Amino acid sequence: MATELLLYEAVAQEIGKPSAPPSSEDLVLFNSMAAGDVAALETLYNRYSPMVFALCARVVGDKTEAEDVLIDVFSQIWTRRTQFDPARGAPLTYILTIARSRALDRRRSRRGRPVLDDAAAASSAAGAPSDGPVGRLLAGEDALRVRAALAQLDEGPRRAIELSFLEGLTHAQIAEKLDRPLGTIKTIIRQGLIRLRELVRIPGRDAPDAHDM
Amino acid sequence: MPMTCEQCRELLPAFLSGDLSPAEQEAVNIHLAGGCPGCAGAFVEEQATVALLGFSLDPIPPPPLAKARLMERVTAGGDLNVAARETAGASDARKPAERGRWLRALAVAALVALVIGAGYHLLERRRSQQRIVALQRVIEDRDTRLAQLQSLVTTGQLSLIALDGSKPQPNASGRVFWDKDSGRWHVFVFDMQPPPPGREYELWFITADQKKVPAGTFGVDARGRGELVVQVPADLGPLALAAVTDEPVGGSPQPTGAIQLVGEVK
Repeated sequence: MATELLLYEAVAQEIGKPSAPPSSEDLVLFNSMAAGDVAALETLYNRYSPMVFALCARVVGDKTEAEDVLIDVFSQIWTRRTQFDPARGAPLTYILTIARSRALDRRRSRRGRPVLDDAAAASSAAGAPSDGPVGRLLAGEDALRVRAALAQLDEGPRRAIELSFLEGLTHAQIAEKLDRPLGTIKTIIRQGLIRLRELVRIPGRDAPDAHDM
Repeated sequence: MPMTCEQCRELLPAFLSGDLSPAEQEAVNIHLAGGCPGCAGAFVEEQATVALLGFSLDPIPPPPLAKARLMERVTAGGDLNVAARETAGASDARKPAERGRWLRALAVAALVALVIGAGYHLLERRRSQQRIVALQRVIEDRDTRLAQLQSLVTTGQLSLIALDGSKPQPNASGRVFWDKDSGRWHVFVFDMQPPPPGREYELWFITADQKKVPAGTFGVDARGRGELVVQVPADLGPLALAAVTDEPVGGSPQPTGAIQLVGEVK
């Protein structure tokens, strides 16, 4: 663990972004919230609101609207605090999933496109504990390593993924924007996500999952 | 036809981005809800991978007021654990509406206390004024009595009439100091029984021709003592007796009760 922490700090220093605290602290905060401790929500907000706000601003494309979404996100985290299941993902995954979902809802409602099903709710509905490598990766000190992995993706898949999941474009719109066939876009998005998972794996620790084969 | 695991996993990215047709989306939902643990795990992994995208962005500090808006909305929900909040020392997260209610309650309480205090003050002031008026009357009465006694002591013509107890009260007695300069009788009685309920004692001037003139009523204290100062009518003529009877409260124009005290005027 000490080696991983050093690696984590090194990556964080290299890319100049703040260190994320260990996920165990987030779990304690979620437990405190479940007991009704609003100060725990405040701590989570202080810790992750810059990351969530950046995500919301990127998806919504407007900081004023992003502020509203940011508040909606942490309000939802609070009101559903007893529904969080740590067996199904790390707290930060949960927070970012809600943030992306709410931000896309806002963006799509503005454009008249039907909003997404609540991805966070879908996560719970899926019901399976996340024992896969990505689920573990987001459980703490590995988080910043993901940024380096994203930077290693080829431009095509990374851009298609960003347009799909950060800007809410449909596959057809992405195909038009990138001037690629629709089938190609679907394929490069799927393969890009698989590549991303591979890049964030720590060799020797994360064995390939059965569902990755 | 049911969806296979391979088909499901191929559609998961589009499922997450909302790019499936309604029929495809329904099929994925059914497959995931059907209890396929591999695909459910793949979905969670896919979802976590998408969440990674948040790390590709440079953090942006939100506007300072955003936190205040969040805490206001959250605390307005009213389901806070007070004990936990106090433990965390998050007193600044207290619901503004609650603070407002407390402040209003305190203001009302203060106003009520002020009104009660002011009312009590006015009542006490009125009572004090009444006490002052009563004391002024007492002082005036004592001044009058002192002046009368000074006149009695300093008069040049003073007669004394002794009153003796009659059959109802043989042990009672009295004295009348007649100040002839001022024409006043100063009557003092001793050892008299209290008058029966509804009755009081009345003094009579009895002239030589047996005319009975009411002179005034009085009561006695616990020791049987009483006193009375009366002005003797100038046109009354020669007096023969002074007598005391018991009469209905307020006195009678003519004696109706038994004689309690009687004395000869010399």
